[in-house]
Amino acid sequence: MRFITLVRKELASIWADKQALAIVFVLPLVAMLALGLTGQVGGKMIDNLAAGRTTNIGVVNLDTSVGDPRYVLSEEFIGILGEQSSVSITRYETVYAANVSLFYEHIIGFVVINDGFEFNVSAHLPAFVNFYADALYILAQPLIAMKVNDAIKDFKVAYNFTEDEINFDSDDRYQIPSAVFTSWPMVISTVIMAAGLMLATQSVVGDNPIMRVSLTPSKRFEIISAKVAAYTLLEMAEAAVLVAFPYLALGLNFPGDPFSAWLFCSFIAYCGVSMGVFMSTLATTKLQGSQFFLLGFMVLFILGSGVFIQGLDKVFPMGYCQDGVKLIAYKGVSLLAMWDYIWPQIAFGTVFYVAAFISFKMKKGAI
Amino acid sequence: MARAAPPGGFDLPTGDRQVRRKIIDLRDVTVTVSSTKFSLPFKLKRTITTIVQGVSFHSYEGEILGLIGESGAGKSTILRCITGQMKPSRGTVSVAGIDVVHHKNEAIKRFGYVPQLELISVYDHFTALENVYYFGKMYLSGVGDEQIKQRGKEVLSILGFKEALMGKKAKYLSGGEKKRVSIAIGMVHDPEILLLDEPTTGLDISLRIQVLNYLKNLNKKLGISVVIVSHDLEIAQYCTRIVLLEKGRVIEFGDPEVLINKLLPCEGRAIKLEVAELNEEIIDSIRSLPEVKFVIKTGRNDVKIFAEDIDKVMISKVIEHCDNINIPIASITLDRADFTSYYRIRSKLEKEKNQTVDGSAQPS
Ligand SMILES: Nc1ncnc2c1ncn2[C@@H]1O[C@H](COP(=O)(O)OP(=O)(O)O)[C@@H](O)[C@H]1O
Ligand SMILES: [Mg+2]
Repeated sequence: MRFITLVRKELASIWADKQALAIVFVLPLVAMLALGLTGQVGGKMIDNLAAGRTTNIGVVNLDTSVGDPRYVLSEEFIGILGEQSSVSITRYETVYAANVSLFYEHIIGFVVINDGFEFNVSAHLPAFVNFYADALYILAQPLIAMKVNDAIKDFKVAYNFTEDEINFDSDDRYQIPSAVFTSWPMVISTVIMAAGLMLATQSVVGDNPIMRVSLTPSKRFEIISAKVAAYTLLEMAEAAVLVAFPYLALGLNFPGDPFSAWLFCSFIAYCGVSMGVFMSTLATTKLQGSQFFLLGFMVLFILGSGVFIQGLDKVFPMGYCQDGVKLIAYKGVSLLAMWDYIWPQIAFGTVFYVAAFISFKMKKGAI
Repeated sequence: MARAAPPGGFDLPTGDRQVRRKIIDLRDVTVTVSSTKFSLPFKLKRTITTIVQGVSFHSYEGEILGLIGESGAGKSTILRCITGQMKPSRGTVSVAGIDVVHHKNEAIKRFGYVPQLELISVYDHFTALENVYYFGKMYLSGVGDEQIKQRGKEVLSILGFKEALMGKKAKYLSGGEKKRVSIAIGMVHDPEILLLDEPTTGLDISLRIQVLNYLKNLNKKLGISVVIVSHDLEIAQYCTRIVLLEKGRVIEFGDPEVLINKLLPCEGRAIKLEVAELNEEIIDSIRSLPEVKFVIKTGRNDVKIFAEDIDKVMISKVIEHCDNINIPIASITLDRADFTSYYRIRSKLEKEKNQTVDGSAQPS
């Protein structure tokens, strides 16, 4: 009961600071809106980036037709595709098997040789090669398009096809991803973590009468827990907005369950908030709180990316959140199957939650 | 019950007070703090400072106790011991019969504490009533919201808050109003005793009196015991019991009337004399009258005269003396010693005593 009161008091205090709320809620929306207006990603930059990357492409050969008896043309084509620079090919029997592999990101996409390929090519009729690319990997589509295109050119030269016998087509379902689609998992996990961290670093040091509160029957454990709970709830509200706004207003339509994606965000909120509350117990002035926030932010986002020290991305929670959101929202994985992505976040958050409690318990400062 | 004699051997209360319950009881409380200082070349120096030494005092239910001393005397430290925020290195502290050192959680419910600074006492972004409500809810978590708000309104209105003012955010309240919100927070859970650290400091004279009167009101209407900590002698007239603190030690403890009577002749009665133009010579000449015990300057042109007997005879003697030295009298009235005059005379006597001790120690 007292805990509920403490949480209500925290929420009321948060509500009283409209300016902070506006920053926390409106800025990310503006950012999302800007991404929405940007439209699609692509252009020269992606072509440049794509050059020279190792490209694991799946191939499914569905052709049963017979063409020029001298060759098995479909296999010849596949051979030429495999010879393209930095391409590595994996064969699949069925489109389903290739899709599964794509889901687990073993390949960045796959090419399907349709039935009738050999017959059509031999008869100088148009034949189609389809390809499917990973929509979550921004370079997948340009890479595959480039390699397939090059392979077609080489194939035509090698077998003397001079007309438009062969063309390729990417499946309609995989359009070039929009900027919102591509960046949303990163934006939502970053914003929730950062905003939680930012608000929570002021939560203890900015609560001037906190020592008077701890001179009531309220336990220090309750006081810290209420702060973590209240700010996590606040970040849940923010997560709801960041799921709903692109979904409803920016046409971000994903196959997964938005509600599960939202619930999953509570873990990253917990991480950011408990880390912030911990740093707030260490700070002695509000300015120090802000400095701690900057420090925490840099540690989380620079070290936590794992770019500088490999493996740190397995310790810090950002990556788990970002990948997890992708899996739930874009690949339709159920929340229950996400334990591997959830527990590292719970562990990270709890380490700081306990640290916050210990640090606050030891805090002197009689009034 | 064995009991250490308080330093200085103060009078213990007598008569019917003995049967009343002690609400605050400090015995031989000593507080030391240690600090570690690092100095080159690589030396750690640990210093232990005693900030409160052998302090004993008590007060009974329904009393207003004043803890008076100069800044740095250790008043807040003593209050922190009473509230369990600091542990004395020696001695015992009990509040409403509960040992604070060992049963802090139980003791916390019995007192209300009003810290010195509003910044750390009141939530600026909550209204007066919300502040009182949230703190009330910390103590009375099982009690309904409406009931707590009702109680909050009751306390706030005793402290002079009108309905509209209760709904105003604390950041928009004046200093005196904020102080009263802080007092209401300390009162909301119906404690047996209210502890206030410098409740009048920083307020102008009319607000100081206002706050003190509100406290007196709470004491009368709700029967709550009060401890007021102050460096201001002015509070003494509101107190039924006084502790004078100096450099961490109790130098006087008792009923202010009793203290005054003990020190001053004629139960503290005095003659107040106002002349046209006062100077040191005149004061010295009055002081030299055989019956006169003490003379203190109380204003630009007035003095208080204490003598063995304060009566018509004494008044006529003073008038006669003024005539003799050719000083026109503006007014002459009967008066009483207040605590301020008591304190001044006491300090002066102490000083004289120390001088004579020094003098005899090193005869010239
Ligand atoms: N935690 C502490 N560490 C060191 N010195 C302290 C501490 N608390 C108080 N003091 C010192 O003890 C003395 C008494 O302080 P305090 O009780 O605040 O005085 P008062 O309230 O009467 O002005 C002061 O000289 C103060 O500097
Ligand atoms: Mg003080």
